[in-house]
Amino acid sequence: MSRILTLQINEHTVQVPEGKTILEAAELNGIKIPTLCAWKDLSPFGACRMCVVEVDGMRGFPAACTTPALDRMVVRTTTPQLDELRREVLALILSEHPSGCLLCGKDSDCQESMGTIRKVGVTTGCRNCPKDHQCELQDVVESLDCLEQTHALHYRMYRVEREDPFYDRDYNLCILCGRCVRVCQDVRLASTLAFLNKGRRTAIGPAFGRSHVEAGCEFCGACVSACPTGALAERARKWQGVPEKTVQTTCALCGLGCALDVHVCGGEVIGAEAAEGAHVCVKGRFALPELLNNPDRLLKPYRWVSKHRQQVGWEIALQTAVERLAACPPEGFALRMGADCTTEDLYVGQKFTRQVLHSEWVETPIGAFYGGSLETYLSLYRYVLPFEALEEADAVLAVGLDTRLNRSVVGVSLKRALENGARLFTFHPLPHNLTRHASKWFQAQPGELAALLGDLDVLQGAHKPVILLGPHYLHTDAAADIFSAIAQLAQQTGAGLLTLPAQANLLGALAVGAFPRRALPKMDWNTLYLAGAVAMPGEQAEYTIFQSFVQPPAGQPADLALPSAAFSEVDGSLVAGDGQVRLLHQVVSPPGEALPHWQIFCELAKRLGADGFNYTSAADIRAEIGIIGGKELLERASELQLPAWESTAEGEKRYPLLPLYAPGEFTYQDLPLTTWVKGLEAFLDGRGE
Amino acid sequence: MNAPEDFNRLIAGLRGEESDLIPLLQRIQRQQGYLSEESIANAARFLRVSENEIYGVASFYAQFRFSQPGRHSLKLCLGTACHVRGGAFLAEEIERRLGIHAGQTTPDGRFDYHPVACLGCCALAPVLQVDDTIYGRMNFARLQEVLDRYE
Amino acid sequence: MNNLDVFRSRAVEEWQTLQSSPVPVIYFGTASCGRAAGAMQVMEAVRNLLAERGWQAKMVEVGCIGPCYLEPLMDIAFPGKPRLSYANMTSARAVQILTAWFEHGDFSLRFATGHFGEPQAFGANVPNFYDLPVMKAQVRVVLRNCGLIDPGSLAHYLARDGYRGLEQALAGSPEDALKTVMASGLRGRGGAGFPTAKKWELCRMAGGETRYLVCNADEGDPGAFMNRSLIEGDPHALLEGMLIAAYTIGAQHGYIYTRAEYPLAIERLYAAIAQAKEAGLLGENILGSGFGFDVTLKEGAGAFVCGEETALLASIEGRRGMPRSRPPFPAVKGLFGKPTVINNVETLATVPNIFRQGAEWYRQFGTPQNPGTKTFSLVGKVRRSGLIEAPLGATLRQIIFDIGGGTLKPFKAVQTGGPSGGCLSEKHLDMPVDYESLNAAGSIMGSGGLIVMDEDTCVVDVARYFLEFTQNESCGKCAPCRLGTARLVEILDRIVQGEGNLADLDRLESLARTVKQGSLCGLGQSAPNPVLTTLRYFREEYQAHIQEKYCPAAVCKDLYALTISDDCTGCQLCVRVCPTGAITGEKGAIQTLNRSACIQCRGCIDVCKFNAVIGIPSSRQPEKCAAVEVLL
Repeated sequence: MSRILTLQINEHTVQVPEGKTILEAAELNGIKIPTLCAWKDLSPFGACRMCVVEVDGMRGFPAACTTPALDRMVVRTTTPQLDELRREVLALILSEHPSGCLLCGKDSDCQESMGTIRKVGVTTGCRNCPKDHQCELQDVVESLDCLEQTHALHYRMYRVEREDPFYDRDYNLCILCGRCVRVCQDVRLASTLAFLNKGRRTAIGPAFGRSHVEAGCEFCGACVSACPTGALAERARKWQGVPEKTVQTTCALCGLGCALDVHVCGGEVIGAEAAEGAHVCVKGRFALPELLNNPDRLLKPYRWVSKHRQQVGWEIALQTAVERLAACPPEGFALRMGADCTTEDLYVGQKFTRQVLHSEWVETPIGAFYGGSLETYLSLYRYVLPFEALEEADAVLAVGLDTRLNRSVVGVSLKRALENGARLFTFHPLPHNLTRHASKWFQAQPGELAALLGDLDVLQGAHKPVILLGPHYLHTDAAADIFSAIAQLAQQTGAGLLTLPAQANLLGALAVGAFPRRALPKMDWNTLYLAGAVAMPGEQAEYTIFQSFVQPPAGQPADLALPSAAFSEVDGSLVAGDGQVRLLHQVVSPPGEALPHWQIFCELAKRLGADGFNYTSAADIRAEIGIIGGKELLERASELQLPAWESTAEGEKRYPLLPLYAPGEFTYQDLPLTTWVKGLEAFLDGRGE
Repeated sequence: MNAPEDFNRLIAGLRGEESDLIPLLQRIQRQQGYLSEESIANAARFLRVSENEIYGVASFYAQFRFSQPGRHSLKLCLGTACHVRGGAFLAEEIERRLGIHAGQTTPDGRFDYHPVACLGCCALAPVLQVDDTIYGRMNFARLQEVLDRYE
Repeated sequence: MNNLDVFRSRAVEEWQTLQSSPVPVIYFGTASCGRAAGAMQVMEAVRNLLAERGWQAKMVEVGCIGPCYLEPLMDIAFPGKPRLSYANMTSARAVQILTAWFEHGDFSLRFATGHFGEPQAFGANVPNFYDLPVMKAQVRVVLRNCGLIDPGSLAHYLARDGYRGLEQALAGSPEDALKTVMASGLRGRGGAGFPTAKKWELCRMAGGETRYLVCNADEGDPGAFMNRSLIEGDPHALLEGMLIAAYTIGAQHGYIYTRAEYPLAIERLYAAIAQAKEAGLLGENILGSGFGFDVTLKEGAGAFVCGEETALLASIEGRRGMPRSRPPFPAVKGLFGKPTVINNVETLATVPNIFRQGAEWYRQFGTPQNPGTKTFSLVGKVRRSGLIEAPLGATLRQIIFDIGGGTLKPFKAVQTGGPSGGCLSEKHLDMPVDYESLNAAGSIMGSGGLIVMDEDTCVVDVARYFLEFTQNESCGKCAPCRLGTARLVEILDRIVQGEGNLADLDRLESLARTVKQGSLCGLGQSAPNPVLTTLRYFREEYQAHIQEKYCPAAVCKDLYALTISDDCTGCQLCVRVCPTGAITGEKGAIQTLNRSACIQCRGCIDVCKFNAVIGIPSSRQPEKCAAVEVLL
């Protein structure tokens, strides 16, 4: 328990715990001090000088963000002299920041006529900055009433950098507050951005004028979130303005289940950022608007009548499905669901299959990702730790893991552990982003790895060893041997394991039994029901119901298409790769007539005369399932006896190469993200995806 | 600097800590005259610091260069004493005679030219340094004479 | 008898052998300044001569004794005679002098500047070196060995009572040592004059086991070279001072952060550190005291701001030299987060003298508030430029005129404290040079650069020069410094180009105040001083630039034209240096300067012995672009 200090700030007597800065002390007590370079948990920097204050007994004007609060300190945060100094420094900042947005006298008149509609496009109003009205510099200028430009503008003539995906960089708008650099170096531990040069040539960027793609950027977007001005602007929401609301949910684009703040404008998702205290990767940060608002979204049910597509209402669509299903023999029906559907979807789906259609063939296409060794893979779950354990580790083995893109969140925790003195040993046949951090890099081919792990002695003496299981070796013939070797190693050394599955809800699917208890006999179905999934290669069906958030992709036969909601459009839950349950919250309503998967199953079940499908919410379903997750679930998963996965034999052959980014990594509901999120192609091209 | 053993010789005696960064860059520059992209990549692997961060540090300090230097290095002192004694005029004259600006290398690769803050020989101002030799009490006539000594 | 005593007795023997050498001992001042003046060529010529003729003589390299205007200096101690100093040596003259002695026993006294013996040692015409006007008003405490001993020899240092101060300190407790420094009243010689003992005490009181001592030898002030000269001439004095400081504060490890532009100083330090290790003066259990200390040399990489202590620490740690806010002060949280004392070279090199001779002895120099001596690099338009040492409290007049011999053309200003300091005018000449007086005048002591300016120096140009310097050397972190210096330079640029207006002077003042008050570190807080002091003391010169479009010093190219006055004797020296052939005329007659060909390189002004090339207001009137006029 830290000591409580008593200070006087502007005639108020305030109390703060020891170890705070004056700025924090003021903010904790509702006293606002203008600042541009202090942000969230970034270490104090003291560059913008907006937060200068007067302190009795201290010379000059110390910065509140760097000066520790001391007991009995007397602080003044606003005096005519301070405001004058702030205005003058601000005028200097504005001398190199184009400021039409701040100083134009016609601004408010102009706002009104900006909505003009003409036959041809007209530019009305100076929309010269993507951060207009959400710019912290604007806020400070307004709060200090600094509406006169005292210095001639010195335009720095930087080229706007547009070569990288997802965001543009216009350093002419940069005020060098260093928030992007500090968040990149100190919070994300990525160090793509650095301060360059000095004096008036000070700039920000990677080495040798490289692009961010070339410089190894993780594209976590933390720098964009940190930028107080329009210098770093997210391309997808560049002119979207201020979000109307922000809702926290869980990212369903991989098994880490990161907390995500999703921004909404006009009923549409316009962007997403890491929730307070959390991290996200490129997928969570940048994929959402394009993924959710893509033109292929399935908005209404369709059916195909002799190859002609016919838009139908839900009533007819459901009726069509009911007629087909009522006539389908139990052995002829299969439901395949995406492993990133919610637990509730999966539960209702399997219940629908088993109780309504009396079929045993419900599955999630996860076997394909584990080289036919799902069972050995699952047996590893008894060693799985919560993700938080990684930061505490003192020795880490990273097996087939590259944390640059889709697992960058794990990379942050890993690097934090390394900063605290942990040692890292990596196993990967290719150069990868952890090479530089590793004490040793074992460049092992799949066939060699099991033996190598068997003889490994680097974990000796480690108190908290952790094994990170990346995707790289999972798709190879050697996977089963590797899993056994890892299990043995964990057994011998007491190492904990973090499996980092690409699927958002693999454990949820296992928990609710969304898998067949007998081997699948055939690949020829009377009726194949795909919910958030696509058909396996070589799979045949007389009739296919395609239930997804998008239109059936090319090559996917469908006789009936039912629009379902995506993860940000529903309430529900997922079980993350560490066995912990994460809740999804509805951020926006599903577009068009789309419904959650579980609701569609319920409608069909009711029409087929079944009982027990009268749920009104995801919470209802959760109440029926009971408590799942945690250590108990992990234990259960590790002991699951699964039938042989004949359908995966094909899958195994699908991935003969060893790409840096493994299959399944950049998909949602079985569909490649790159179809809509073109920015991702910058990394995946030519790399096997 | 291509062979790994060259790099291993460079890092002799260094422990791979962050505080070794500037000494390591100085050794690299002493050996190859400038900091190449490859040498920074080597340094990044050795120190486990990102190349971007290393470049950020290197570009802060006037000493480090990122392109091939000339055969001879001209450093004109522009310290205060040299300035007061006409260093700036000498600077113009050098640029005029060599046909290059500060920080550039002559097209024939004979000289690169950098003004420096102070060489500490203020009593002999203005001062010019060519490679490791310092010439004091420079003037226009002596300038040509000094330049002519280097090929 | 410990190891050092053995070394010392051998050293004294060696020193005495040198003093009573049966063959001439030739001393060459080969510090960087001597080398720049050609000392190495002279030494080479002498070496060749001796080899060629088979003459026996000893050659010793020494540091700089101070009066750089006499360089290269060659001293010769002929057998049985005191050391005799010959100034402005050339190879030819060195050969001539040595040949005269070896062949005729002639001392060539007509070339001699001074001797180091009894008065009249060489008759009435050759004075004692210390009686030369440049030396007479000086007090040599820190510089006592510079130019006299071989800086590459520990023996020389030991023979001159080197490391006696350390022995004194180790004989008492660290607390005693702190008391001695406190009693001496020593203040930091790096610029701000913070009491050294107080800094040490703060660090001593800070918790934890590990402490660091850092010597700031990053002498970045352009126009200052005290530290370079001191290290090149007497490196062990610095090491001894560091050892005493480390013993007092309890530091186990020290760093010397030195400029990379000083290769010779670095070489000397490496050699001195190696010698000290060998003699057991560095390492474990020094002189049997149980105290252990080691020193690492860190070469800077060219950043002026690294003279700021938090930036310097960042640089040692391998990061960009960007200062951070204080508190916490380095004495509490410094290098690698541990309590750290950062002292300047001169401060540390002074400490052994205080311990060897006592605090009372030290206090006899200087004033009660400013005890001791201070070294200055006296340069610019002064007759006798060089490194000098004077008691604090001496007046600027004593330093510039008595020691420096005044200026060739009428005195205009003196700049103290480098880019952080200010320009003082004639009215300050009788001001005592101490920390408080300089601050009151708007300048600072700084590390000790004194740049003298005469009427050929334009103070607006000087202010612009310094601001351009700080603008380039600003670390770029805080807004007022990075942007404010840039805007100041822009305004000054306008003024020196004749585009200024009187409102610019107010703008300069208010902007300068913002930068001073708003900046994060000392660099920014003091960067406007050159502008503020020149505006305060030389406002009329700014006004001339603005209103008359005339630079009285004939420096700002747009604001003057050159012409040749009646003082011209027609010697045609100027004709020979003119790069564009702008000067023409008959030999012996007044020359003509063709303005349209003149590029204002000032080569002619520099060579003219009669001050006949003068600047006059150019006919150039401020022109308004016709297009602008139409618009208006």
